[in-house]
Amino acid sequence: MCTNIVYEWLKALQLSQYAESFVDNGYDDLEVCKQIGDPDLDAIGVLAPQHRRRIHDAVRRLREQDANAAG
Amino acid sequence: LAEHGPLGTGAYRSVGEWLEAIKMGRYTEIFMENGYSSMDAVAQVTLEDLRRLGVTLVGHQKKIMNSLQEMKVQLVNGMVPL
Repeated sequence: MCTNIVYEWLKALQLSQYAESFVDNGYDDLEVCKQIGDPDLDAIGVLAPQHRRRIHDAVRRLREQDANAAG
Repeated sequence: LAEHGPLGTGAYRSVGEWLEAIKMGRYTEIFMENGYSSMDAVAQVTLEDLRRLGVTLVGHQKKIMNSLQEMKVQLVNGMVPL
């Protein structure tokens, strides 16, 4: 079994405690994680403001990587 | 990606049971109220339908559509007796 990519991503953000909830809510690959906003974090149960900010920043970086790869 | 159990549409007795099994139980009432009250009806659901029902979170859309897709594949493969 390969480790889930979302778990690896969250581990790099030191937020791996949310990995199970991410996957349970259908956020199980980085494509879907790119679309995460506040309502998604509400559903997943990420409530701490600094954790939300860290995830928002990481989501932005995912999108930027995408834009760079396309260009 | 075989993280869900080998369950087809026939394996769930109700829409509520299915939604609970994929941890989307919060949508049971919305499905029932909008006429998706049997597994047969649910099998026809599209992404558009989900949006119309108010399932706006992409993760939840993905989870529900993946589960429906899995059930259809199993039906086609004849794994689930009709």
